[in-house]
Amino acid sequence: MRRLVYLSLIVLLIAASVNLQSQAAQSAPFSIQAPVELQPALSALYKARYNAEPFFVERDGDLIATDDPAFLPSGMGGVPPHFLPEAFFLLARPNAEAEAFVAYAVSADGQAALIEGGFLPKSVTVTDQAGNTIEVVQPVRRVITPYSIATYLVYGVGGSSRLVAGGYLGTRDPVGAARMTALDPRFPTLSGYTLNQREINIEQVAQLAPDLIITSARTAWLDTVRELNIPFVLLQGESPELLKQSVLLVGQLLGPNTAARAKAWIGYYDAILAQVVARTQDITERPKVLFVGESPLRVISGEMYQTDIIAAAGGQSVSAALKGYWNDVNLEQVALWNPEVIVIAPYGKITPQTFAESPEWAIIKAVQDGKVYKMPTWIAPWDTPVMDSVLGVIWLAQKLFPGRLTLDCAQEAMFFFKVFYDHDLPADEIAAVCGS
Amino acid sequence: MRLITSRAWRRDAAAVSSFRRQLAYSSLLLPIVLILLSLLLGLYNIQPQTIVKALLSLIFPQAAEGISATELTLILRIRLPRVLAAALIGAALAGTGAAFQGIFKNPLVDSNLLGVTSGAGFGAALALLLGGTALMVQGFAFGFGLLAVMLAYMGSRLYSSAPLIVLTLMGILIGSFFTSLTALTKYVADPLNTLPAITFWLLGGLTGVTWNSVPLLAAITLSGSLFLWAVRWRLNILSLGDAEATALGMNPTRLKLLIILCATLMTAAAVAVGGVIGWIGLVIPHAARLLVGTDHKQLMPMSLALGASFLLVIDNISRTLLPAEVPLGILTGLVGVPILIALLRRSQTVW
Amino acid sequence: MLEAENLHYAYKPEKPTLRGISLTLRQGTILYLLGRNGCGKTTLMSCLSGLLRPQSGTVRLHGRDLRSYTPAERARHIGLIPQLHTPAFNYSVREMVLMGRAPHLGLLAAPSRGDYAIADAALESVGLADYRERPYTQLSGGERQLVLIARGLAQECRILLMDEPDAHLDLNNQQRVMERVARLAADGLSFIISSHVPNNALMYAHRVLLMKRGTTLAYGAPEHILTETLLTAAYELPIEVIRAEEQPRAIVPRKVSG
Repeated sequence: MRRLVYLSLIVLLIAASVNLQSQAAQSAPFSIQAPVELQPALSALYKARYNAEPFFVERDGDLIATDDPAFLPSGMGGVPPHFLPEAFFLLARPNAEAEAFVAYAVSADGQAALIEGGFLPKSVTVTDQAGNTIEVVQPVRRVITPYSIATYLVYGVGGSSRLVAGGYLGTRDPVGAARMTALDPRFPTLSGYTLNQREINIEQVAQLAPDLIITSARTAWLDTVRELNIPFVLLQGESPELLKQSVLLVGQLLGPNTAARAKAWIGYYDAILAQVVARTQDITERPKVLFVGESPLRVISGEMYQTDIIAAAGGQSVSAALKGYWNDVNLEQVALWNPEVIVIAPYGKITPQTFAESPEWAIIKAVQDGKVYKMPTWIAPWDTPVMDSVLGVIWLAQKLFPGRLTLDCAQEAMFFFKVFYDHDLPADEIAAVCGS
Repeated sequence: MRLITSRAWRRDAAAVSSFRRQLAYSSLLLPIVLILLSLLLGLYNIQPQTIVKALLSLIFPQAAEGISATELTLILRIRLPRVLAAALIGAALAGTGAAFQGIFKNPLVDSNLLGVTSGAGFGAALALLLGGTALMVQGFAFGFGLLAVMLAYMGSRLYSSAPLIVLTLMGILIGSFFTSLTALTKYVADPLNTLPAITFWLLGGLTGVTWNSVPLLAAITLSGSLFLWAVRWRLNILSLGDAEATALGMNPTRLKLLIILCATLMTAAAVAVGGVIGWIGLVIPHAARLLVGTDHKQLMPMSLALGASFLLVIDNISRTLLPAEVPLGILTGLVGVPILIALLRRSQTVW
Repeated sequence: MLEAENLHYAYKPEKPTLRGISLTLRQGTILYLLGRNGCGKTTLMSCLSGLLRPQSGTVRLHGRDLRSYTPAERARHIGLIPQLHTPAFNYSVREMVLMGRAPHLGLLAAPSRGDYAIADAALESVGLADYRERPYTQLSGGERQLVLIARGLAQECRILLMDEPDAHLDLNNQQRVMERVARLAADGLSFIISSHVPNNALMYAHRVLLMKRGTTLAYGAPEHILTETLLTAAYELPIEVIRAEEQPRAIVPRKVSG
């Protein structure tokens, strides 16, 4: 909520600094207030949209275009729409036509107009997380994301209008599907393809005619797709640093606006992590956390992102020495670890009840103390390398250190979804999900 | 080359055969000793005398005094049921393997010949897909294991000629059919939670075994083993083929049906608890044959005992080698295949 | 003691294999079944041993319909000695013979000491007492036939049906097996032997049934049946019976080519 207040404060300041309303040209639906160096790019955009010259004003424009970072919302604020890597819009007052123009500016068509005018590069060259260098022609109009994690990254950086098909997680569950449809009405169409890391229908892909595929470094069918000559970018985000890299990569690929949002998310992520560290750094005995998957004895390895989430939240994963992916362990090993807290993955079919009712698990400290929790989720699971995982850190830190954090899971979730998914979460529901 | 006169041969051979008999019966002690030794092993360090006291407390509750709840739980609720389950499953797989090799007159088959394991695998995958509890997974595995064999058997009845070959063929067909169905469930399974669950289940393991799984497994395995034990001599005759068995006054079809039913129940119960654990049914009867010869009178007890012992050892490795469990299916394959190759080389003349 | 009357059997209705075969086996005699491949000898043996049920006609054992015997009862009277084969598993000679005790034991029972003694005695009576611990598959063909005869003895049956006991055997082994059969017949056992070696019938048979396409071509004492005319008709080939000292000594086909 605080950030929204900041945002409106700035808008009010700008409005107040403009004391006299200038004479608006009768022909233009809105006026634009912009520094001289941004005007050629704006003219190109405006011409492409209205086939007319824009109406620039020096003060009190309906729409403000600027590259002055002072106009950016301070703190962990929202991200204004960027039409150039450093330049963005601010709406001075409600104006439907100006809003439509902003939407056009950040769309693929707007990006194309700016490329034609020579204001944006014709292509971007990136090194993906498998180490391949790929040149991707801009703008990307049709992206497919067989790797579900990548799908959520595209949503998170605000590029979902470019999505034509994607993999999703947890949407076989009607609750998950309903939430996803609420977030994106196009979800039923986008998810209606045979598309995941293991399987792909190559003819379907050819028919979708994507100009970019974003998938996982562990994808099984890469060789087939090479035949289609479609550029593909491979992600591998199983650590905070790698996750930040993935987000940045996806942002860069889809234009200046998504790139700016990716950067803003990284700022937000770092700030939250720093805040948790600040609140917990004096604790010398890190609580021992066992993170289990869909069965009580299936636990994470040290190579999985969940280990980092636990560390970021101020705990230590007892199974950090394990290698690979999920590992089965026996109760003797759990007894040796004797975790103080057990976290169940959001998608686990087990509940804290499962542990409480088992006579065998009664010997484990976390069960004795009733500290078995199921991690909440909204759309993408908060323990996977998606942008939402920041909420997983907050939630876990709250569970590990009740009362120590000023952050609140539900409140942050509302803010996070508003800013990065452009979606308003139902307050009561998210509060229930967070258990706060 | 030692020249064996017929008289010397007779004496030596008689000694060998009586030695084999003794070996077969004394081998039954091996799993009992191994069960006790296995209780001493575990990642959690527990003193042997504590284990003895904990075991005694089953009869004399006061013996448990001074033992921590953790140790008591680990010994009596984790190690004991798991060790028993390993022994029972090993015995079931090896005993049914020996029985199937006998009735199918083929030393290279095991009790999965008629598709019970494939059926059970699909049942478990389906239950996992439907989000079932552990009990439901076991029930489905058991039920579909039986169903697969029933389908194979009924399918073979459609043809009157060469019933054994047709039954084998049907078993293979039904087995691959269920394997395909399992692949289908994996295809539609949610990659987040259901798919890893199915994959782990298919690799086999006793990680989650508690007392809940043991009573039914024990009842089926022990009564099944008793039946296989009782008909062990008849297996010799069945292995000669239907015509000779009939001429010797038997009803081979009925007896084989009983044995298949019994072996299927045992295998389905074993698979339901332990997942797919391969190779034991194939390798152990061979090893047993090398020790006591082909006579099922000795082969059956030896297979049961060796199977129980083998899986106990393998499971001990699985649960103590690394902090993470090594799936049993992988270990039995890694250990079993080289053993089988060695045995096949040595035993060419035995069958 | 074993009588067959007007037996009919068809695996496929349009192609009957047996068409009205009758025979009588008396105690202590050897009955030979001769005829070309596919004339129905093996089917007849199967009907007589109870493995197949004739579609019409009756088989009577000691005056009682064979169908009224339980399999175990029947097996206590009639033993079957199959053609030379190699079992999937290599049992000892003694184990093979012991299997003859099956019709005398309950389904879940294992053989007792007494059964072992009977098996050993049976081996003794075919002259293979020293072989009892040997692996069955390491024996010669003739020895295997003798082991299977011993199994029939352990079965304590008085009628033994032998399916081509002379197949795959050299002359020495054939002679060894047939001499033992003749001695057992003299002791009161009865044999029905299907064979492709008419010479053995000439030497050992008390009765001969000459079959052709599922029917009886001729049935009676060997001297009446093993004639050039009948044999030529049965084998559809010119056959010569060579006589010496007024006795038929050998049955050979006539050379047809140059």
